[in-house]
Amino acid sequence: MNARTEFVAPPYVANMQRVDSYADIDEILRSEDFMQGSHRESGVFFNGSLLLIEGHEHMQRRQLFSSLVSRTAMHYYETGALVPVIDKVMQELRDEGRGKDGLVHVDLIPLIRSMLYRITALVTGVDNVDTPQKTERFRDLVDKLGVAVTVEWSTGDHEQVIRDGLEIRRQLIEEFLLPSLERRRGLVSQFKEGKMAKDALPTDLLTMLTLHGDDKRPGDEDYVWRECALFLVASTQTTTHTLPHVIVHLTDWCKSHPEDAPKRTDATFLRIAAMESLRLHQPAPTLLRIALKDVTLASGRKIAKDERVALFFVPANRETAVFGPDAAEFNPYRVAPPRLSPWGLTFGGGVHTCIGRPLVTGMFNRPDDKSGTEGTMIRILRTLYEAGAVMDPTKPPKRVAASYHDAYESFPLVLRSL
Amino acid sequence: MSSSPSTPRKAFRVVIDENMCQGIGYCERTCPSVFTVDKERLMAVVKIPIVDDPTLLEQVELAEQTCPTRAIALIPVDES
Repeated sequence: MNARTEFVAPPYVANMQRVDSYADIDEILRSEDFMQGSHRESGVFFNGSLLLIEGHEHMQRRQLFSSLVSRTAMHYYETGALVPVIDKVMQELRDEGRGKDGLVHVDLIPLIRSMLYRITALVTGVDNVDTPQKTERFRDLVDKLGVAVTVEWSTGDHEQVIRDGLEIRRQLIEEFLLPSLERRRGLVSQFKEGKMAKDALPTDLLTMLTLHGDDKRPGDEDYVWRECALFLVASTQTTTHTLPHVIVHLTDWCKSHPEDAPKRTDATFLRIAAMESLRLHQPAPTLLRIALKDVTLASGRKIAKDERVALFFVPANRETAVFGPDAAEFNPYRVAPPRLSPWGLTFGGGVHTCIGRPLVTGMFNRPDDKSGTEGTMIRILRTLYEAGAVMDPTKPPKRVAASYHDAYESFPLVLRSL
Repeated sequence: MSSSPSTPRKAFRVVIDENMCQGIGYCERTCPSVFTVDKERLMAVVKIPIVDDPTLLEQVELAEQTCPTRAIALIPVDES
């Protein structure tokens, strides 16, 4: 299997200036002369959310959401929400997931989503995801919403994808989001009346928005659902996208470096493998930015005022001048150049750097920091490798066909030690 | 978490990860008494490296959580 499929530019960006140099993209992402240009079609799901606002409003919103991404919160998402669910899911596979050969066979893509749903619900503030039926229903709706909010990269009829997405969102609101919001309105009222301490309020998106009066913006009452859509999708997207790539790369790597196979349960080794995979495979095909004035980049590239440019991270993250002569290759011993992230540009840059990055990669002050977090990807990878995960030799993975994402829709594994 | 900066009178060393910092300046705007941005290097600079005042720590913690690249670390002085 080829882990390094060639990058195909989606038709959506065919008429835009293509920027694929690392330095140019880095400069654009950091520059105040550019604004968000992504999610025009999918704006109906995201307009006014943290992803698409700029300037002082953006900083204030980041401050409002700060408690959702604090170290304490990250620690709880990982140890209080992810680890117990991983344990439960693995126990269910141990008890009920064996095939005729006595081994556990499982598809990684739904498995990852089943492990991450509780984090999604916690961050957003969704209650009552507490029975197998409701859990499955919530996961299914969020999964389908994720297709709609990236409609720009869909290979299907975009108008239909949006219509379907709006219906999915309606169902999510009716069944999960509105009842959760109503409960928080009640709690916030109690707090404002002095009947409840602030510390007793939940720490989640819906509570923060209600406290701030953004649960019912005059003239834009749907804003709250658009912010929810961002957090519902963003909290799982990168891990679901990248984790299969890590397994493909490690499978190939360990064939040529069998001495490293035992390291696949070592968190430090897995961390670098995950970061390399993030560098080589981006969750979104491109990011788009709009110039606020005529700009000449340090390289001499000119971008006209109001021009929307497509930032192609795949070639940039594989630039040999930046990451060395083997930049296009996976190397779990790579040391990132000074002042560069080991994942390159994958989480974006500047003010719109992905807010969920620490959830995925972990947060630690030093490599030996015991109070830090491992990150969702390392936690799940380590669990899978401890269970003896290998790619199923009888069922090759299938790549996503409904969009231009560099992703898998099915990724069969065998857990040989479970 | 044991390293929570909200612990009263505990001292924290404020550190900038130079590989992550892009000089965006949200830290300076959130807590100007502790952070400034070196415009030449596009890098945040810590003016008060060790903070133990609870009110100031709250602002530093907000800056740490608001930083888009999460380039700020608060390390308990007894661990640093």
